[in-house]
Amino acid sequence: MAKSAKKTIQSCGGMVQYLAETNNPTWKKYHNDRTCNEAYQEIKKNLKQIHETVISGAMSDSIHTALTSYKEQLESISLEDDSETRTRRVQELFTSDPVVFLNDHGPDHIEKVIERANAIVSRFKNDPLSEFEVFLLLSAIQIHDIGNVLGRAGHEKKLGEIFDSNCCSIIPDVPERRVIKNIAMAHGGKSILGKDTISLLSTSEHIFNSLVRTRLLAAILRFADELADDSSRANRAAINLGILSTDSRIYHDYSRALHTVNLVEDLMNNDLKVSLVYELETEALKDTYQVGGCDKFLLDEIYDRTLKMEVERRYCMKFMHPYISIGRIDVSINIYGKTSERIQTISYTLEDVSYPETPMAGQIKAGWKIDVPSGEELLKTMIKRGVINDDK
Amino acid sequence: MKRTNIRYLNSSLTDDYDVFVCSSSFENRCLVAPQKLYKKHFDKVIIFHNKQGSEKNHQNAEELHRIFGKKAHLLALDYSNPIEIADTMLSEIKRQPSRKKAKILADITTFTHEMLMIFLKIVAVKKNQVTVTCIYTNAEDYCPSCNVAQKWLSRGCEEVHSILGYSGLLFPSQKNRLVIIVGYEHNRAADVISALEPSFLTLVYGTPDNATTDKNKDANKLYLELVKEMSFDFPSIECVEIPCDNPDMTADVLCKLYNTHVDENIIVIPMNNKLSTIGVAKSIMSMDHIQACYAPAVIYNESDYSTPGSSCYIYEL
Amino acid sequence: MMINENSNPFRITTPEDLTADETVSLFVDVFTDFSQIVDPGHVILKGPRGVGKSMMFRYLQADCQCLKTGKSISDLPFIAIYIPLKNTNFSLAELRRLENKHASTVLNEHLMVSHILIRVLDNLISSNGFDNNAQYDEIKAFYRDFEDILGLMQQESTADNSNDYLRLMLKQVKKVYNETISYIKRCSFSSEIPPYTGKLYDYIDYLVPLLESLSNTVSNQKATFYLLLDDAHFLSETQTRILNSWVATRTSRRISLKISTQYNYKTYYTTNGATIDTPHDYVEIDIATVYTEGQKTSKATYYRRISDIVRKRMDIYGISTPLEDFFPCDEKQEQKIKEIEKWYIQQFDEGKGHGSNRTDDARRYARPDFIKGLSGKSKSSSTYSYSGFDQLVNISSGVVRYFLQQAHTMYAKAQALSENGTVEYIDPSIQSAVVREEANRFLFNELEALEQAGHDEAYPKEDIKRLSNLIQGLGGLFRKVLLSDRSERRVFSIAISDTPTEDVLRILDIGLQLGYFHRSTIGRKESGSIGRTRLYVLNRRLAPIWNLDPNGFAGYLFIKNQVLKDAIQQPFRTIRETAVENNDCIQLSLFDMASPVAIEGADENEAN
Repeated sequence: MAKSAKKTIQSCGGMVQYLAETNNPTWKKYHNDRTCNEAYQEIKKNLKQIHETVISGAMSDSIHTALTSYKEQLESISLEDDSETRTRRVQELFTSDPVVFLNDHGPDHIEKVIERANAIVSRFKNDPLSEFEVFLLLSAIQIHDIGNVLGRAGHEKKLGEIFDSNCCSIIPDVPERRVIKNIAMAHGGKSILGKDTISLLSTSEHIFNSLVRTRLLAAILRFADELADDSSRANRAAINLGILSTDSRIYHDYSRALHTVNLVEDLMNNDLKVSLVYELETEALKDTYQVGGCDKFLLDEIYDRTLKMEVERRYCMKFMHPYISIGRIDVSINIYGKTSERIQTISYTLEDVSYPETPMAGQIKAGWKIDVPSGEELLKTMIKRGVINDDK
Repeated sequence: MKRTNIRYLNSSLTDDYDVFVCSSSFENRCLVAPQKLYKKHFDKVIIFHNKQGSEKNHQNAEELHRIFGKKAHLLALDYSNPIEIADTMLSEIKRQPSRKKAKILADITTFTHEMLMIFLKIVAVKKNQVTVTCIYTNAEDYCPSCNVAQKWLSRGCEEVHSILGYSGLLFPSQKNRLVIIVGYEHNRAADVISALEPSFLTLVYGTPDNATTDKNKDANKLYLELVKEMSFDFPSIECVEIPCDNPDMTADVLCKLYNTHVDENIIVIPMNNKLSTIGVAKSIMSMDHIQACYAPAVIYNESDYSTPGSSCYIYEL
Repeated sequence: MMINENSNPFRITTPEDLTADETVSLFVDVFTDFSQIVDPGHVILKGPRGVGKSMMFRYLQADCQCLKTGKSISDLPFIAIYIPLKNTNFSLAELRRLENKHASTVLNEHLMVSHILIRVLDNLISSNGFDNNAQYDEIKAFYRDFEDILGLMQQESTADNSNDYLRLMLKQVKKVYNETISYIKRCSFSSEIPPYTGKLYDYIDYLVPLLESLSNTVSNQKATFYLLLDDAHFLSETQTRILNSWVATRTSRRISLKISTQYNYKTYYTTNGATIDTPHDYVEIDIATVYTEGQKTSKATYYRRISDIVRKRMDIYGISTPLEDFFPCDEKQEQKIKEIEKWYIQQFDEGKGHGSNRTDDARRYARPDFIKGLSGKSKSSSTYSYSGFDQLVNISSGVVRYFLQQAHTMYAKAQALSENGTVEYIDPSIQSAVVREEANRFLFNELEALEQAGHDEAYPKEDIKRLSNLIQGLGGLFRKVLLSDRSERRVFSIAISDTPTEDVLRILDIGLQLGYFHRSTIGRKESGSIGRTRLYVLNRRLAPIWNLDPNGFAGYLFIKNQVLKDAIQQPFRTIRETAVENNDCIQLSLFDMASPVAIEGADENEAN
């Protein structure tokens, strides 16, 4: 745990500044003559180029995968005797757009995650993060998505290879690098425990005489990443140009709709809450997306994503307790007309119910007994009100 | 190696020393050399003392402190914690002025085997900073109230661990040979063998002519008892003689022994006198793959452990 | 100078050092008693030293299984690798420096994984399963996988055959192991911990995929790897937690961990603070309990096992004498006992019997009457002879090693007395003398030695004294019961009828750890009560101390906690003051517990 220090993360204005101002020379002997701050800055610099290629890397990987698949299928098609079947199968090949167009996973996203993590750690009730823990967390944030360079599939595990090759001269100690990797990899994906990736980590570890609360750091990263999915992540240019693949479009439109994410005091409950504000235009209510073979409205996607965030909140709070208490998620979905007047607001709160009767998964209406209209229902209402033209 | 009557200890020491080091014990032998030594020989005295020792141990520690007065510095250690032992010894060495090599006189008589091995390793590592002379006071007899067949010094073996600095390199794919330097503690040796269950066993024993005790120089009898007991589990046991009063020759014999078993993991456990333990340490210094182990006893025969002898051995490291 | 001693058929050899031929010839199949050991799934196998855990493991190894089944390694249903943990590499003093300082858990895990990898490769090489270049192409392909998974430099190999590839892999892992040990050594005398720059292997990301790949390579059946981890009580607490973390993973279909331990397994926590539970995560088998639990077949099962084991050993040494003749009982003694039995049968025929069938009373009372008769008249109880194969089996208390140890000593003594060194049989006097010597050594030498001066990290001196008192008290009480007129006189165990206090439980647990008791459970048959309560069974090796009858049927005493407390303080007074009433009770078998027999009241009765 941190020694009682005059500087705090909050007073310094964030973790990066805290590292810069603390700058304890003790750590030089473990980082090849670099303080934690110097080591972090160098890690950031080394990974910058990789961050900038994450999106294109994932795209390249998806193109490569698609081309390989096309080649195999064409070989199979060429063996077909019937020419009509051959033609039909060739047409079917190109019905879907296999190109993965990730939303922002680059340097801007990293900064956003750091910003969200700052919001969490600066509100700790007790036992703030030590300098070394801050260094480990920031380093983990830097690397948590770089595995995408080698393709989305299994990217959490691939990040280890890139981290080792780029940063072993800065952090020569393998166990220390392992801790950073484990924190980073726990932010998503699956482990042998399924989605419960954080429980696989030890509660704490000692690295160079310093206690590191590994699960806590992993939970902070994971939840900060969840909170960083706002409009800054959407690729507006690609959206406007309409070049996004159908599979990718929903992610970008979702990000674009999420206007603000804040962690605010909840005075009524003496804890904190996440405040999400979405902004949608009425025209967007008409759009549907192909998800899992079905048509899905953006509104329903928003519901699902807020549910997911609530699940993540509950999950991460298991490990962030007792340092911080984030009790609920307040959601406001503001629907605007063409002249920017607000037509309707849908709002609800997601929190632990006093007696858990239903499982966590499922649609918001069925599973959570919160009375909100589905995407289709709202569209019908809007058409009926004449706010939207029925052009289907 | 020099052997002298304890009365002539001072005249046998030719130098003045910076530091005198000793360990308190339940054995009265821990007082013999300190009582004889001229205090003017050294500037500072460090008395290692077992925090968890018995009442007798505490009494002897106080007596040692009284003997040396203001020069003495009583260092209470947990003798079961090798890390604490090593760190304390290292920090004491660091305290010595760096302008010259510190000259240390160490009474190793009542060091534990583990402590002594650690001490010797540190001295080897810090050989540019220290020179060490060891003195060892012999026993007239061990377990004097018992006849030879009934003598016991310690019993029980709770665990066996490697000695700090002598971890060796034991490959799991090789079989283990246990080399025990046997002495009066044959009961404990039997417990150690039973605990480790090695594939091969070598028993190293002292020749009567070189025994350091004044009485019962034929400790071979006890050794034979051990062999009989152990033949239960081992089809063949290798037996090797060493001169227990000569560390250099002991080291030579052991090195030759190690070289005849190059495809085996060798674990050495010193359980004879401290001079032979010096020999064990010397033999391993240049053979990094050999592991030395220590098995703390469950109980010691404190009330009847030994009576001090009249000889003192002086050995320059 | 070498001393040889290999002509004794009862010599105990460490199973690890037995060849496959020796193992297969000596082994008696016990897996019908412990089928979970052979099936896939994690197992923790508990038992005191000498019950046969290591021997079972040795037998499961691939070389023995190939020999036994006639199959090649690639056709075995499982590939078992023996990994002894009684190894001082797990107790390096330098590892203590890392505890709560730096990366202790990951480095210990890396050491354990590397150790296992070396053993796996070494076992495969020595199994001779890859001679004649078996599966050369597959092993060559696996070699690439091996380097890839372990992150080793891709090397152009020069191996010409399968075994050479395995040796190459072994060499590489040894190098990694060497580097780790070198790092640990650098920590010896440095308060500053240097960075660790070597490889770092763990179970999930390295050992599991590697063994999976290996199984796919060498096995036609994608066999499960069984890691036979022997003597896990030797591991430190950190290492035990690591092992538990492995048990907690869902890998048992690919890698099954078979862990043997004595009763002082350090912890059931994992490295992330969870616990491993049975049967959810693993199956727990207590071998001693299996052979002494309250099942009618248990006694017969153990008897059969030990008979088979002894028979095999004697056959190997060319001794064809039947067991009962090789270990004959004292004929005169048995004759006298038979006469008493005849008298009881006669009493039954005259309608004066107590038992439900003709031979019940004879079996129950004849031997105790004989022993009682010895003490009453000539005060020569010590002439009771503990001889005969049956008695020796009963005295061994379900632990094979005890039997073999005593048999070894008996044989050596008989051999020393024989003119030409051959032993036709072991005289009852030798048998009885050895059994009595062992009992004395077990109780007086060992316990007394522990009692004399405590070591702070051992059991407190006072507790050893209390345990000694308790054992003396219980032994004396059982003796008193034996000499009484009770309907059930063979008693060897106690159950606490009320709530045991912590101090009493502590002493009983120390007795358990040191082997003076073993523990079981019995049904609580007080009216209105259900459930089970703990039963503490005195080790029958101690029977000669109080001239108890170790044979056949034995009951237990329901005893109040206060009586035990009194025995702990003043054992002989407790024996004197505790009454033994003549209650009717159901005849009980050695392993079959039924009605409780309570001790009550304070009637005076002569102690022996």
